[in-house]
Amino acid sequence: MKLRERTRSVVNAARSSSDEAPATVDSWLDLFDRLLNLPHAHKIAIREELRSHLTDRVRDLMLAGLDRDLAMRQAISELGEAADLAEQFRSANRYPRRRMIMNGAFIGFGAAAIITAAAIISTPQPSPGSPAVFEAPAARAAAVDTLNSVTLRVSPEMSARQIIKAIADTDQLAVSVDWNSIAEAGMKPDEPVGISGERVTAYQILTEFSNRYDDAWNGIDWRLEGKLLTIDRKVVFSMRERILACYDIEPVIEKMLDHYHVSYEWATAEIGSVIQELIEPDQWQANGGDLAQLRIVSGRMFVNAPLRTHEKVAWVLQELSRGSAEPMSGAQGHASEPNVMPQPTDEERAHHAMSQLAMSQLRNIHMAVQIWGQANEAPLTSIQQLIEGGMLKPGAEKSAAGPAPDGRDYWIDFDAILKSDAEGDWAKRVVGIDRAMFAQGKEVAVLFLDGHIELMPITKLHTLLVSPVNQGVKPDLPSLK
Amino acid sequence: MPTSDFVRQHADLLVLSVLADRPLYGYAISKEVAARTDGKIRLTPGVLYPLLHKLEVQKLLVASWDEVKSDTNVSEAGRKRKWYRLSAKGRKKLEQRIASHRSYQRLLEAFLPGTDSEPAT
Repeated sequence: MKLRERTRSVVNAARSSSDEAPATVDSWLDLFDRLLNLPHAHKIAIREELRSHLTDRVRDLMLAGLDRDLAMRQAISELGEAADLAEQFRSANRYPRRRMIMNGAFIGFGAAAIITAAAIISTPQPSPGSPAVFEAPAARAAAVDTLNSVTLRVSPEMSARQIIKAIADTDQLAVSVDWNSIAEAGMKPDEPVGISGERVTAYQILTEFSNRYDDAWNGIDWRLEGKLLTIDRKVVFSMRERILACYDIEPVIEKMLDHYHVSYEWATAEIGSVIQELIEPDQWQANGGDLAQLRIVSGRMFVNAPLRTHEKVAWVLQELSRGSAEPMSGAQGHASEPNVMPQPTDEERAHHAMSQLAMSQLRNIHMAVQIWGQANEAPLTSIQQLIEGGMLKPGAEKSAAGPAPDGRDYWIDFDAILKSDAEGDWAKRVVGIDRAMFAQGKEVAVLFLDGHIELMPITKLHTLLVSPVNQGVKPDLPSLK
Repeated sequence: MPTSDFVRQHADLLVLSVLADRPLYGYAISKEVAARTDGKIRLTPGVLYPLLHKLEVQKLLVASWDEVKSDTNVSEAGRKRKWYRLSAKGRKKLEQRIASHRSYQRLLEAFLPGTDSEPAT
């Protein structure tokens, strides 16, 4: 209410003065700005668009015979209450935000989701809660190799736009960038990036961009499909990438037939309806969306949708198969406690945030070591050298998990990183571990020789370290808590 | 005269249809809609601009900024307009919206007096 009153006072001010009319437009826009709780880039664009609208409208009204003051008043009043308009813009923006929240839930489950995907792929007998998957997200390792084969000369004054153009000019890759989308990540395409090197690889550049803008939703990411390199925000890729999976819904249908004595066709249709009505309805093709499809054939339900949707579909099917066999009311006739879809705990969220930071730090260290290797003949012996050389920020060596019991934050095998002729599979060769996370007994951020980073349980790390490709690596691991 | 609810419900269809012919900026879109309907439908700024924002975020529209060239007013030098055009996704969405609207219209015809249309099967 208070905000609306302030809006009216601005409009009234316009009615009281003709000399200050242009300032009134600015006042209205300033007030609108304050009410518009959107990302900065959106706010600037919306303000500019409304200003342009007002200019056009005032001119038309003046041509129709109104004096400037009246025309200005009318144009502003047509826009309505600033608070209402700001609310309209906020609700117009809710479409992706809601999806971002969903993606957040997915990212929050990051490691779990990857493990789930792996489990899904290896499930031989599909059951309601664990679908068989036809296709999984493409492996990154081959793409990294391709990007590492594209080298270019980069000078510190080059902007992101110039660097990306230089990548395209190598004629080895076609590059697709949505600069408007990238701007929402905070990147300014035409400002100097400050990266330099005689032979910097495309992968190093993209990694640097990802590190600088590493927000879990709005951060910058890339995909390489064939020779087409696409650079965009993570949320855009997340919305685009879908997984086709097949669910065996026979057990659910049978329980419905036993319990409710309905027809097979009715039960089948009901399962499809429940899923498409309850789980992000807007995205289903049957509801006019274009993010997810569902077809049921002979007791098999095929779903082509983002991973986060699969998590919910699996949960709904589990509930359907369970619910029809178990009483839904308590002994006193009261509704039983709802079985809520599991959400990450605060501890899990905190661990996830720490893991993301650890992975980001490892990426930065890896990048700095690579640059050192190109610029120096002498081998690197400590992280301190990178900090003193200006390649890492002071404190970059500190783990988000705090110091390990022995006081050291990271262990990095620099020899392994610099040994470019290492034998075996680079993607399996461990060269860096967050020692503090290891000491806590939780999932560990691990850097591989090919530059990719994974979070993994300690048991998996141990398995990797004893594999032949890692025989030369003897990490000085702290004792576990 | 269509109600404001009607306009809100169909505003996306109106905007996508107008932009199917050529790129336009916001104020020009509202004038085009008014012109095509003899002034019977007016997209107010409070409906139009948030809708354009939404369609752009949904990637149904692609926007670009262009400096106003035709204005002779010196004080407006450097003023920019935001132009919108349909993306491929937007064109597909428009086709879906038209098809859906037509089939709904055919169904409705069967219930209206004085028509001999067959209901859609």
